[in-house]
Amino acid sequence: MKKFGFILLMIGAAVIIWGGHSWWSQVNAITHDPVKIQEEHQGWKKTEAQKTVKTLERVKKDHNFETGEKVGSLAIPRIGNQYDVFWGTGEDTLKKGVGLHESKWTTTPDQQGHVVLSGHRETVFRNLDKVKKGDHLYVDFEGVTYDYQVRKIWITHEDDRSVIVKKDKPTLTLTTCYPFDYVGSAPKRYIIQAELVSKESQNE
Amino acid sequence: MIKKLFIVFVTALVFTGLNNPVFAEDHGEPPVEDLEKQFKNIVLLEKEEDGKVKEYDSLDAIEQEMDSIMTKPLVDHYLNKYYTEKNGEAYGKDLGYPVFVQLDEDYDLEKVNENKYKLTQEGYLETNGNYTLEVMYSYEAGKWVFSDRSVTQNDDGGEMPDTATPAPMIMLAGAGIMILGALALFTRRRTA
Repeated sequence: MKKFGFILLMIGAAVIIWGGHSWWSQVNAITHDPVKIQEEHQGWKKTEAQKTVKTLERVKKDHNFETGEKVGSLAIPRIGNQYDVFWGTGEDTLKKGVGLHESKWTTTPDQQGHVVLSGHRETVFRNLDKVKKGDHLYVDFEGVTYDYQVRKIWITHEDDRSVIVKKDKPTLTLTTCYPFDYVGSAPKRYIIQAELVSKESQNE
Repeated sequence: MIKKLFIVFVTALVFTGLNNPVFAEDHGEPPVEDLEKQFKNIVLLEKEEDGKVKEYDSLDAIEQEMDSIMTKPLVDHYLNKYYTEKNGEAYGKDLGYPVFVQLDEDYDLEKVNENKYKLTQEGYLETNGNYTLEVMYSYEAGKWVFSDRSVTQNDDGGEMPDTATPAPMIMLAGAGIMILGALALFTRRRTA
């Protein structure tokens, strides 16, 4: 019995270390440096509504990214965070950080349409509730910085199929689970939707 | 006396004029049908085989025509989307066409304020599936113009990713196993 108890203690400790390591590495996927990130994106304080860039040049581009490959980055000056963005939103990819959703309804930032980024609420997106309407979200993708301004924030149920849909305007949507302090598989989703207000080549 | 009467008359006229809301901003409803036909005409201009626009010889001319029925941001949007200029001449881009108001079908026209109306129409297209078209009209410079047009797909979209990491649950499970282990050890000692 003593031996059995000892084995259980060891297994329990190993499971905690494994889970803790996974959680810790996800938390560390965030670069939290408010001063630097806010300095790099000078326009982040302009929260009055700016005009949406309605049309992106239509360039047919077939991206051949591997699932889990790093494809860009997301910066949110309001919360001073920057994240690497990876291709796909499967379980393994989201363990790395923020995932760029791949589907027939969504696209990449360089194309006209709907870009969806998702992340875990307990780790990378745990401060997403501090982002407000009018704030700016910056996505770096293939040498271009796309500046999106938040238009709408809402909470919906996990099965809502009206969020990941085709869009006419260049739109960025962030999704994560809700409530933020829920333990386990949360029943709702926290949605932040933004529209493109400018883009800038990083070579300029 | 005549001068006094004249002053009273003018004062009354100015006063009633200032306070009469009839003179305010009742522009009536926007001419939905006329504007839609003009919009359709300007985005579906007839072209030659190589794409050259027949009726207008430059982008400026098309822009001028668009200016008369929509606000500047919309002009920029539709001009860039459907037309291009080569050697100073206007050419069409082969990018299909926007969703139009189906004038023979039902639509809702809602007054937002004296200077704004919103048209909403639901419909179905093979290319778009079920959709909702929203058209905003603004009264600007003495006439009704389009100020926005947007189409929302109504069909089911994609499933949202599962964004709950199992890490906290794994740690909780580990803690549970450790408690069981500790209990086993403790029980052993008590019964020894």
